[in-house]
Amino acid sequence: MPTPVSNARACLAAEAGAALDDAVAIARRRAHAQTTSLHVVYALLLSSSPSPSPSPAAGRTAPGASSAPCSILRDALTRARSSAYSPRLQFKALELCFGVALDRLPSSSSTNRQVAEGSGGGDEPPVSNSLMAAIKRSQANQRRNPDTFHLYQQQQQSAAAAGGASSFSGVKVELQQLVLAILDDPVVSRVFGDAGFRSTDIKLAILRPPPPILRFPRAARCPPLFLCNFSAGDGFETALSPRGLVFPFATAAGQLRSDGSDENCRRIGEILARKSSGRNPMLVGVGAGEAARDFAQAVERQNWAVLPPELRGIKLVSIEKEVVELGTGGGDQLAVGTRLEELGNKAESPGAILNIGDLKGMVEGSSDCDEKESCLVSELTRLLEVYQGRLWVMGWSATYETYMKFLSKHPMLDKDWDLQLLPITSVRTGMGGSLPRPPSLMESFVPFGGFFPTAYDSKGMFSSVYPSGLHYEHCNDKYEQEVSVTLKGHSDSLDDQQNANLPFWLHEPNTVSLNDGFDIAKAKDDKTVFNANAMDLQKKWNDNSQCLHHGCQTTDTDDRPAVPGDIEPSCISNTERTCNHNSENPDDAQNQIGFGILFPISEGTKKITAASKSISLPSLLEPGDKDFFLKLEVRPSKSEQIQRESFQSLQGDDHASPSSVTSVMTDLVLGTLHEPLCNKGNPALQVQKDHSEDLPVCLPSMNVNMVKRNGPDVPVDSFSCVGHQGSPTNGTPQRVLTRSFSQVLNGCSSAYDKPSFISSSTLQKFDLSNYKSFCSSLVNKVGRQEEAISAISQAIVHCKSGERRRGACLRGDIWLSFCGPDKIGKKRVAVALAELIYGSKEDFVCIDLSYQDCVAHPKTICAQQVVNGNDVQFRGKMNVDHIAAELSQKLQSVVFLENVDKADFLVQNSLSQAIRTGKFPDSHGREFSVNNAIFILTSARIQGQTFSQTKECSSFSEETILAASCWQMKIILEPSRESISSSPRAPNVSFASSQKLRNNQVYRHSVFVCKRKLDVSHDCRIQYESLMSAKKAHKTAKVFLDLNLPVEEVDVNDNNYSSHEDYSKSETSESWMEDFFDLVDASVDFKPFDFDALADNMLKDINKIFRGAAGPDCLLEIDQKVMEEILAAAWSLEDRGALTKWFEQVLGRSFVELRRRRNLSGHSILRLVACEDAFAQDHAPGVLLPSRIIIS
Amino acid sequence: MGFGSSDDTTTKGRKLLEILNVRMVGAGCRVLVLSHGFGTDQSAWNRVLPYFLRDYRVVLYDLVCAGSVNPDHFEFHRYTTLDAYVDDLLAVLDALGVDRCYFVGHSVSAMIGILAAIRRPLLFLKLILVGASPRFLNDGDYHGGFEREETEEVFAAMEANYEAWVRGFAPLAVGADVPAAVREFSRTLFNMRPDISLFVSRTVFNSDLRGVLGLVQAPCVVIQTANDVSVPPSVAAYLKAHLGGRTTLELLHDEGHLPHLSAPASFVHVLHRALTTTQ
Repeated sequence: MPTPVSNARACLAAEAGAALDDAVAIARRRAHAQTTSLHVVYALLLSSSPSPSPSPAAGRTAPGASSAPCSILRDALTRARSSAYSPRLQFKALELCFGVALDRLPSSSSTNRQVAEGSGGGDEPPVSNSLMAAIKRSQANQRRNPDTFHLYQQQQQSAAAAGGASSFSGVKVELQQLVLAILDDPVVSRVFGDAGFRSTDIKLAILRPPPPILRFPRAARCPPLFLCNFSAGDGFETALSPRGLVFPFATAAGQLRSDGSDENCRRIGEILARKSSGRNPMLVGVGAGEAARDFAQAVERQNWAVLPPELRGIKLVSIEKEVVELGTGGGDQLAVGTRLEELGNKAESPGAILNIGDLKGMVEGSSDCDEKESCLVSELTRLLEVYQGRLWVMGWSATYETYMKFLSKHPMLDKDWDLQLLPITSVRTGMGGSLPRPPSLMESFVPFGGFFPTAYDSKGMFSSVYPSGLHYEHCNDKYEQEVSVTLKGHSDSLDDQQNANLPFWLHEPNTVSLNDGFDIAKAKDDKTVFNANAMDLQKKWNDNSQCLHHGCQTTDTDDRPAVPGDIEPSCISNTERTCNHNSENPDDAQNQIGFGILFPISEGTKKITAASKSISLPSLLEPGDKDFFLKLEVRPSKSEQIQRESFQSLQGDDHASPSSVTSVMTDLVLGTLHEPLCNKGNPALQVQKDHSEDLPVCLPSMNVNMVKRNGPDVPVDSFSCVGHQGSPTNGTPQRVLTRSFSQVLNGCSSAYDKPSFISSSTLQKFDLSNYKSFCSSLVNKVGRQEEAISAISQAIVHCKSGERRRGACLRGDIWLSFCGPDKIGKKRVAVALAELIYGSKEDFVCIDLSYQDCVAHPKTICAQQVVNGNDVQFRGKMNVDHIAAELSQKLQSVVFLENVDKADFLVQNSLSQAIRTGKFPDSHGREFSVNNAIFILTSARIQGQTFSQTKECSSFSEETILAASCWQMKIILEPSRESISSSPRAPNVSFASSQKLRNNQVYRHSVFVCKRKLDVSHDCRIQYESLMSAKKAHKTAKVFLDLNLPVEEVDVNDNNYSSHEDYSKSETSESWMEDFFDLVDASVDFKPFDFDALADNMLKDINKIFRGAAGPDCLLEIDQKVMEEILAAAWSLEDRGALTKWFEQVLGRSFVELRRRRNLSGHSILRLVACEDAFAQDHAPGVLLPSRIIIS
Repeated sequence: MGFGSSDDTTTKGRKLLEILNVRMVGAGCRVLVLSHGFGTDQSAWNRVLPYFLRDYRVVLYDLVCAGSVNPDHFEFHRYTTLDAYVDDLLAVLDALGVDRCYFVGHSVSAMIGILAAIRRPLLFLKLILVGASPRFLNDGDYHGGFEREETEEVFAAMEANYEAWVRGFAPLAVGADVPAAVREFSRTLFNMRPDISLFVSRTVFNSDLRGVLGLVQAPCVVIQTANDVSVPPSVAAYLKAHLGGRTTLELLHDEGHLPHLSAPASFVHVLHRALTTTQ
C-alpha cells in the first residue's frame, strides 16, 4: 500500500527529506504512479552531478547545505566504482541506467492521480512500498545505533509520558542511513549492477571513512543522563532492558504472543463455511487435538468473532468420549445413539457440528469394536446425508498415518463424508512471556559474545582502523629503512634530490590505503596482518631486486644476435605508423631521443654491476638522467590516481586482504622501473590519449602511460630491460637503441589504441623465439613427457612469435589444453612454464574445478599440495570469482585449471567469453583482462584416451595412485616357509596385491611378475573393483556416521545420482567442452605415467636397503597398498631426495630395529602392510609418508 | 489490510507482488521458486541465481517478515501460524500465473513449501528442502535439536539485546569460517525488525509438521549440510522417512545452516543435481 508523501517525509531529517522531495519531483515530472527508491537515487545522482544539469531541487534551502549531503552517494560511488572505465563515463552510464529504469516504471493513469488528489496528497506520487520499507529499515537501524540509542529512549519515554503518538515518530532518518537502506533495495542494486557497481561496495564506501560518531570508544558513549533512572540495586542491564525499551513498538508489544489458536479456528471456520465440496474439516497434525479443543471452546463460548458470519449460532456436539470408549472396548452403542439423536434435534439452522474427536480411538480398537465402529460410521454417513447443509462432522488426528489407517478401513469415506484435510502445524505452548523467564538468560549468551568479541563489535570495526595506522607507520618505516639501506649499499652517488623524492611516492600508496584500502573485517587481527605486511613488503622488495638481478643474468646468457633481427621488421612498420600520427618527427629525431636517454643508462648499469652484483631500484635511477627526474615530477600528480584505481579494482574483488592491497600498490610504484610489475597497472585510456599527443618528445610522460596500460605488450619494461641488455654488450649501442626504439614505438602505438606488437614480448626474460632452448629447459625442469613438452613449446613459440588474431584484435593470451593421464606431470609442466616464461613459481595459479574431489580425498598423498578451497580468502566463493580474483592479482601468470570437464555453468560461460574476447567476467559481470595469461585446461576424461583403453594395462592405475592415502604402515614377521626358501635366486623383495594375500598365497617376486603379465586384464579389473568398493565404503562410512540409515538403500541412491548426474551433466558439459576445445590454441596429449618402471625402481632401492639391514636370506613382501603409497609419493614429489631419505631413515631403521628385537632366522618373511583403518599421524619430513612404521 | 487467501482476486495478487518484492527472472521454461529462510531475504540467493537463469524462470520473493519488506505489512495477528505464509506463497504463484514449479525452500521456507505442497499438490513438481526441520524442539524419541528452555533463552537474549544476539548467532548459523557469508547474514538478520524477528522465531518454534509430512505427494530432496546448528542430521533422516513423496537425501560436505551463502559452489552443484534427477 503506497504511503502518502507527507507521512514518509515525517520520518526523515532535513537532508533526507530534501532528497525525498527531489525524488517526488522527479516522479511527478515523469508522471509516475509512485515515488520509488529509484527516484531517490536518481535525484541524488542528478543533484550531485557536477555538470550543470537541471537541478530538480524544488524548494531546497541554501545550496551550500545541500551540496554536502548529496555528495555522500557520489563520493561513495567514486570510491566504489570499477577502475576499468573512466569515472565520467561510468557516471554517465549510471545516470543512463537509472534513467532507463525509471522509463520502465508504469506511469500513473489519470484515475490514479485523481484518487491521489482526492486523498489529499496533492499530486505528489505516493511513496512506494519498497521505499517505505527502506525508510523504516533505516529508521530502525538508526534507532538501534548504540550511539543514539539513549537519546531515542528518552525521547520515547517523554513521548509516552505525554501520551504522544507512535513511539518512534521521533526518529528522523539521516540521509546516510536512508541511502544505506535504499542500497539494499533489490531494484536499486540491480540497476547499480547494470552500471557496473555493486551496492555492497557502495555501502562499504559510505561507511568508510567512518562517521564521526563511531570514532569514540564505547565506554565514553553512555551518557550520564540515564544514571538517575535506575536504582542502586539494579544492574545497568536491567535498567535498560525492560521490554518497552527494546521493543518500542506500541502496536507490537501486546501482540507478541505467537499463538495460532485464533488462526486455526478461523481456518476451521473457513472450511465449514464453504459452499463447494470439502466442507468437513479433518485436522491432521501434532497440534490438531489442541486446535479442535480450541474450536470447541470458541463455539461453546460463542466467540463468533473468529468464525465466518454465516456460522453464527452454530452448535457443536461432541461424541469424543464415546468414540474413545469405543476404542478401549467399553462403551455403549446406546450412548452414541442418544448423542446422535440429540444431534438430530440440534441440526437446525444454522446447523450443528459433530465432533468425533481423535481418530486414533476408532482405528486402534480391538476386532470386536470394529463392528460398533462401522455401525457408527454408517450411521454418521446416513445422518450427513439427511441433514445435508446443516450438519458437519469434524475429527482430528495427530498423525497422518492414523488418518490413512482410518481411510483404509473405510475406503471412500473422505468422499462420503466430504472431508477436507487441514494440516495443523502450530503447537500452543503458552510461551508469550507467560512462562517464567529463566534468570540466567543473559549469562547463557555471554559465551557467544565472548567468542566473537572483537570481530563483531561494531566499535571495534571502525576504531581499530586508527591504531592500525601505527602498524602501517611501522611498516612504512621498515620500508624506508630498507630503501635507505639499499641506497647506501649500492649507490653512494645518489643525490639528495632523489632521496627526497623517492620516499615521497613510496609513502603515497600507504596513506591512501590507510584511508581507503581497509577491509573492516580484517581489522580485528591488524597486528598479524601488518606484521605480515611488513614481511610481505620486505619479501617483495627482496624479490624485486633479485628479479632484476636474475633478469640480468638470463639476458646475459641468452643474448643472441637473432633477437634484434626479429624485432626490426615490426619496428619499422611501427615507425611508419607513428610517423603518420606525428608527422613532424622524422626517424632520426626519434633515434636521437632514444639514444640520448639510453646511453647513460647502460653506462650507469655498467657501473653498478661493477660495484656490486645486485641491481637495486635506486641504482637504476642513479644515472641521474634529467628525464628521469622529469618523470619523478610527473609521477606524483598521476600516481595517486593510479593507486586509487588499482585499489578500487582490488577492493572490488571482495575484500582482498590488506596485505595484498599494499603489496600490489607498492608494485605499482616500483613498476615504472621494473618490468613484470609494471604490467599490473590499470588501463586508463583517456589519460593515455591525452598524453599520447606529446609522446615522442616526452618520454617520461609516456612512461606514466605505460604503467597504466594493461595491454598485451611489454613496452613498460623499457628501462630495466634496456639496462640489462646494455650492460653486457655495451660495445653495441646500436642494438640497445633499436630495442628501446621499438619499445617507444610500441608505447606510441598502444597509446593510439592500435594493436600492439606481440613481437615485443620476445623481450621477456626468456627468449621464446628459440624453440629448442625453450623446449630443452622445459624438459630439464619436468623430466618426462618429452613429446608433450615439445608440442607445448612449439605451440607457445608459435603463439608468441606470430601475430595471432582472435576476432578483431591481436591477443597475447595463450590457451592450451592438456589431455590424457599423468595429472602430476601436467601440473609440473604448467609450473615449469610459469617459471620459464614469467620468472617465478608464484606466477602460477592452480584451481581444481571439481570441488568435490578436493573435499572427498583431503588426505591423499598426491593432493598434498592442492590448496584449492582451503584459502580463507576464497572460502565460500564461486570458482569463477576465485579465478577472476587470481587473474586480477597476477596479470602475468599460468592459469592451470584442472578438471575442466567438471566446470560449472558460470565458469564455462566465463571461459568461453575469455577465449573469445580476452576478458574474463566474474559472477558480478566485472571483466578481467587475460591478455598476458597462459591458460592451461586439463581433463582426464576428454579425447577418450583414458589409458586403460589405449595401452596395456599396468598393475597400477593412475586412479589408485591418486587415491592412495597416507595409511599407517606395519611390518609383520611370518615364519619361514619352505617353498620360498628353496629358491635361491629369488629376489628378496616382492610385493603382492591384497587380493592374493587374502587367499593365503604368497608369491615370490619372479612368480608374481609372471602371473601378473599373464592375466593382466583380470588383475586390473579386480583392482579397479576393489578401489571402487573401497571408495564407496569410505563415502558411506563418512557420510552416514550418525544417520542410522540403511547403508544399502543409500548406496542405491548414490548410484542413481551419479548415473543421473553423469547423464545430465554430459549433455551440456560435453557439448561445451567440444566447442571450447575447438578454440584452444593447441591440444596436447600426455602419455600415461609408467608406474611399473617406477615401481621397479622403488623395489630396487628398497631391496638394497633391505639387504643391508636384514641380511641376504630374508624375504620382504610389500602389500599393494603400501606400494601405492610409495608410488604416489614418488610420483608427486619433484625431488625424490625426501623419499630416499625416508627409505633410509624410516624403512631401513625399521628393518634394523626388527632384526634387533626378533631373531631373524635364515628365511624369515617380512610383510610390509598398510593399516587401512588408521591414517598416519606424523609424517616424515618432506614426504607424506608415515614417520615411523609399526613393528609387530 | 488483509491481502488474503489464494482465491482472492488479481488486484490483491498484484499488490502482494509489490509488497513482497517478487521478481521473475531467467530465460528457461521451467519455473523455479527460490524461497529464503529466516533472517535472510531474496538476496541470499544472489550467488546461486546466475546458474539457473539459463534453464529456468526463477521466481524470487521476500517473506513478509524479511527486512526488505515494509514492516507495516506484518500483521501480528495474521502471521501467527505458518499457514499465512503459505497463503502468501500460493497467492504470489497464482498472481504470476505459475501452474507448476520447482520449489527450493530454506529453513522456515522449507516448512512453508511442505505445507503449500500439501494444500496444492499439483502445483509443485518437486520440493528441495534446505536446512529443513519439521520440528525444532526435542520430543521424546524425536531429536529436533532444541530444548524448550534453550529456545526460551534464545528468545530472551533476542529481546534483551538484538544486536548482540545477531552478532553471536550469525557466525553460529553460518558455521563455516566464511566471513563474507557471516557479514551478509548478519546484515539481513539485522535488517529485520527485532520484534518481528522474535515473533517469527516463536512461530517457527511453535510449529510442528511431523504429523502432516505424510500428506506431501511431491518428490522431495532434502539437502543437509555436515554441521548445521539448527538441524541435526537425524532430522534429515526423519524427513526422509516420513515425507509422503519419494524423498532423497543430499548431504553436503560443507558446514553450516546457510550453504547457499557459505558454500555456493557445492550448493549449486547439489541443487542442480536435485533439480535434474528424475526418479
